[in-house]
Amino acid sequence: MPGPGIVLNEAPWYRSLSCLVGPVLLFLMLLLGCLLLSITLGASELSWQQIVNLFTAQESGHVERVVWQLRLPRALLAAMVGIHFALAGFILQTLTRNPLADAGILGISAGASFTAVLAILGASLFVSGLESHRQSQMILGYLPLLAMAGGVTAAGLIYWLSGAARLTPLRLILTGVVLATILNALVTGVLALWGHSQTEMIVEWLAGSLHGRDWQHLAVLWPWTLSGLTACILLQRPLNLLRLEDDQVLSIGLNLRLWRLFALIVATLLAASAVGVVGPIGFMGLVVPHICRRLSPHDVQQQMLLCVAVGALLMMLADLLGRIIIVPYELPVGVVCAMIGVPFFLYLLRRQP
Amino acid sequence: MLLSLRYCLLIVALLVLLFVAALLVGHQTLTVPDLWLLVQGQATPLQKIVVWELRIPRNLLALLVGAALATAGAIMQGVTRNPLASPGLTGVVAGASFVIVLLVSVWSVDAHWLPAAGFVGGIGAGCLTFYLAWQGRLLPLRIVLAGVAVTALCAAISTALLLFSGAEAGDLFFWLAGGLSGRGWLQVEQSWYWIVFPMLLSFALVQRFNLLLLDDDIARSLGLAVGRWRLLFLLLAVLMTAAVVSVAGPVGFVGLVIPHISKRLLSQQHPFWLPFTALLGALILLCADLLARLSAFPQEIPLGVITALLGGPWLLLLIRRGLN
Repeated sequence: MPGPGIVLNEAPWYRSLSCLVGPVLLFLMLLLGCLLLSITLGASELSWQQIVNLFTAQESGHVERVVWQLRLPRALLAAMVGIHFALAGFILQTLTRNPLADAGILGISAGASFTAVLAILGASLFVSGLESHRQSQMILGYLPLLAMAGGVTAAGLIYWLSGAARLTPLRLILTGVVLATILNALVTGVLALWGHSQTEMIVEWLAGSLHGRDWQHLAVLWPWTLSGLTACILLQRPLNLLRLEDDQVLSIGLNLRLWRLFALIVATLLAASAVGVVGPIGFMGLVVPHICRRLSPHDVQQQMLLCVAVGALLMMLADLLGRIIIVPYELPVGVVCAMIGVPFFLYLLRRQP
Repeated sequence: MLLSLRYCLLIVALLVLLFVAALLVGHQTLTVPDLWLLVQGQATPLQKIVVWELRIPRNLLALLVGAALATAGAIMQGVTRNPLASPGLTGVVAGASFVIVLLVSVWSVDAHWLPAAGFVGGIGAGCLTFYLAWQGRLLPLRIVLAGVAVTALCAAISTALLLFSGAEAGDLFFWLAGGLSGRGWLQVEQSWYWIVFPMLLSFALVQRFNLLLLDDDIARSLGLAVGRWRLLFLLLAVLMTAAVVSVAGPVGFVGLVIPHISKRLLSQQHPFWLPFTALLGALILLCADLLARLSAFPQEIPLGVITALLGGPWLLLLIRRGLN
């Protein structure tokens, strides 16, 4: 039996979902509103009339290109990436029982960054001559995959170093923090030594940006989003139990090691695939789960659904803000998200006794 | 007591050896007889310049930086009772980096002014952290949270500035990786008093420090004004860290790892624990700087990379064995 003071949600799954129809509708409306705003606002001014005309097929050329080729895929990608980071953060925070865990703190983003930097520099170092530009472009096409492999490797290393099957949440997070710090130092060092002409490009990638992302990136990402969401449906009940102490989980009869490993793999794949496409964006995975837990304090299922909604909305808004704040320049979405982190920590500070 | 004396002697001996070795090796290799001639004033001008103008100030700076980081780390970990606390916990490192990135990328300020500016930025960030954390008294958890907030703010703006800095980004990255390459007497003169005096003060106040290591209630019942002394020690750590960052850039892991090593060698309650930690820090940093100079000769590896590669695995091992 669970310990005193902990409520386990044993109601059938549809009961907790049936009261969600209203919120889901609200979320969809908000999402649509955000999407429209993202399409309309930006460096190139479009009027509402032009947008309406676009959908009634009376507009072509410039407007069509800006909306279909630039802004729509970018906004959709922002929403997907937001979902990835929010869910990964939620799983990692539950898994480590630590409210400050996320993909950045646990070394997944750092691993992805390190491989990405090595890949970009390698592409410029080993390929030379006339063909160099085209070939390095080809290597850059594999960047999402390489970065993702780096993130997964880092997560595997952290899992192994923190004792594999004998892992404790505390050891997991300590190992993650240390490995992330080592990898970040290596990234800075490698950049300082061999960055040269590639520095600017790498800095932009490291800041976490949605600049220049299009349908192609969306096509890379959506299988991961879909499988991640499916895995999260499988995870909700075990995750509910993983919040408890290890002894209690075992006494309930959950295969602790197996589910912990599975949850870690899901979180890693979600985070690493997103980092691969847009670069390491911090703080989103940290802040969103807190918001969701505050909105729905007890129910893990609702919290997960909220993570999807809030993550998508917040990331889309952050990217929009970054695009319109210093037109015609762009503030990378990673920087905007870091700014969101500041009031968040001040809020945590205020809640301290 | 005898054992600790033996450790101290061993470390001092190693320090002297390493100091001399670091004077000899490099692009212009010298021999011991060369050095003897130099002391007597009969060396070639080139050798004089290499030793007096390049290697001696750099070695001195390495000693200062190592000792300061180790002491600041020990103070941070002791005062906040957090074994993972590092000198940058109060936002000092991020604050100094932010000001330097700002000055270089926006106003292209002359390099001569950067240490002073970084120092001021570090102190400012530290004070902001204390201001945010202050609530009649200074609680360790509040310091950590406020420090993270200040660090996040500074790091975000730095990243944005780096993006728009264009051509300066490469230089800035070399500074951000941390290192002692090209530092000379000027930097020693600019920073030594900000490092040495706070360090000596913290050594002198070791009894207060030992009480702060205890539980708040126990320390208070022993007659210590906990809040006031905690603030004083943190300020000392902030001063040392800001001075170090402003001359050497953010050098990680030294302040985090050295206190753990010295805790294994000597009891934390020992009256000479802090000086011992400082000595150990100086030794390790001198060693790391030598490695940074030599391992990719003739290029120089940023010091921050060396310390991360030396200190990181050690820390991982500690965690694997179980942090006390």
